[in-house]
Amino acid sequence: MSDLTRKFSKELNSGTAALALLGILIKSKKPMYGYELGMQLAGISDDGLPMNQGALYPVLRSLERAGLLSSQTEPSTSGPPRRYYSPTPEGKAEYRQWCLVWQQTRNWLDSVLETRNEPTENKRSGRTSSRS
Amino acid sequence: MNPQKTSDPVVPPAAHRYLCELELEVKRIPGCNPEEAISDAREFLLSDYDALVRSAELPDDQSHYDLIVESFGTPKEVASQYKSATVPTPECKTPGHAPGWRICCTKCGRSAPLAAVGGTRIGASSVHKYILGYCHDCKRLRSMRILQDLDQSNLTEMLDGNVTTEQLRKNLHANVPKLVLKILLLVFSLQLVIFLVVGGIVLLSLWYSGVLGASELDSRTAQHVAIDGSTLLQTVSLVTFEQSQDFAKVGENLEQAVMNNYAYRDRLGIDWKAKFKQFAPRWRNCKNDLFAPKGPQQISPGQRPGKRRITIPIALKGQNKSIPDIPFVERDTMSLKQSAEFILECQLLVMFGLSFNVEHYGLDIRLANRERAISSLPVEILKRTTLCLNPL
Repeated sequence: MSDLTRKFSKELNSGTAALALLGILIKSKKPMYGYELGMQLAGISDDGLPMNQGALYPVLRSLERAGLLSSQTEPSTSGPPRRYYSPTPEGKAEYRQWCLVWQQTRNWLDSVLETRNEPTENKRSGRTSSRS
Repeated sequence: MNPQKTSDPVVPPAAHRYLCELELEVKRIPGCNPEEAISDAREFLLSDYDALVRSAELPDDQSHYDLIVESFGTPKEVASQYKSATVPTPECKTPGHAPGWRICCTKCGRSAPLAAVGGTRIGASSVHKYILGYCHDCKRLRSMRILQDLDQSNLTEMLDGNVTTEQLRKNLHANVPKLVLKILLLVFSLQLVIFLVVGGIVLLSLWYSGVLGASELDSRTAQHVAIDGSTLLQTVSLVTFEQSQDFAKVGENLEQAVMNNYAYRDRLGIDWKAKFKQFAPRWRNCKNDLFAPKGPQQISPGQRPGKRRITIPIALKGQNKSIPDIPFVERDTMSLKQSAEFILECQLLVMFGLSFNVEHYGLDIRLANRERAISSLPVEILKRTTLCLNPL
């Protein structure tokens, strides 16, 4: 993977990670900690997680700082204390808005990518007809 | 969630190395919270290591480190991800110079290198220091701590075991507002105790010496009586003219007041009874205000009543012409030994006001280039505009 592709992937994932984390926490019905969230996200797709696990934790912290998630630290039997995250009512409301935005963006992007495959001649004729 | 507490987890060497590197990276980014980053990475690394142990695939240290970097990202990458998720610090146009020092919020742990926020600290003797500043994470004024651990991985060591970030901050930073309140309360209570003790002693001494008992005595009369016995004549004449014209009655009143209430009665060593006996016929036979025409002449030669104007004390002006210009109040100069009494009388809280009084003197401090009268070596000069209230 080239540097440019890596940079593009990073920029793309930075926004979608928040949506994915919020979505998985809302659907799970129980508080989850960072490692558990990462494993669950990695297990959803055969390709694995498109980002490093280390990228999830800053997103969780910023979501908590924005008031969309609440957290509680609990001791664990097999490791250090774990921070369990759960969505707040504001987080749930915001998630619905984000889903709508994502739908619009995805539709727009799909249509952009589809039109790229159309023959250029049609476009040119369309432009000339619109000018006339 | 499992609320059961266990023994401290063991951090494998590769994970410890990774955490130390991450701490150093995160500490160098303004606005990041190193404690949070270490805590998050630690949770992941130990959970991942636990999974490795269960699967019985224990790699060597270097391979384990590579595995961590592959799954979690390099320390630099993770630090940059924390940077993008934080509220940016205010732009500092004139960065300072403070090698090894960082500043952090004692409440939320938001941190920045001191030099990046405009602080200069070179060769400071203090290990740490607290200042007041606005934290953009807490969104309020907090006590900020300046400490010399920018190039150390002390937080990784402190977060060892089952210590949470909140516990770490509680152990690491003093609660400054509570500390200041405690000191103020202590000083106030000490001053109250001193005031009560000294006040009690003074009251007791006054009561013992009989001053309190003399409170009924007319203040002006008491002042006039506070002279030695040789000027009793003038005193009596003065009192006589202040009071009614019944001189005999006034004389009796004065004698009674002196014998019963006068605090200096025994101290002056005067035979008061003999004095009153000596002067009693004179004021008994007196019928007009020329009671003591020769008094001023005797005491103040050159001043003759009726010929030259006699200077009368302010309190006595307009009362009588024949009053001589003599001080009625006894002068009691204070020796050096007694100056300690002044120390007891001064207010201790004045010392706290001194810090505000000299605060602006810092503006006069400049480098040792003879530009200003007060010069100092560049030991510790804080850029007030940036660091004073808005460092993070």
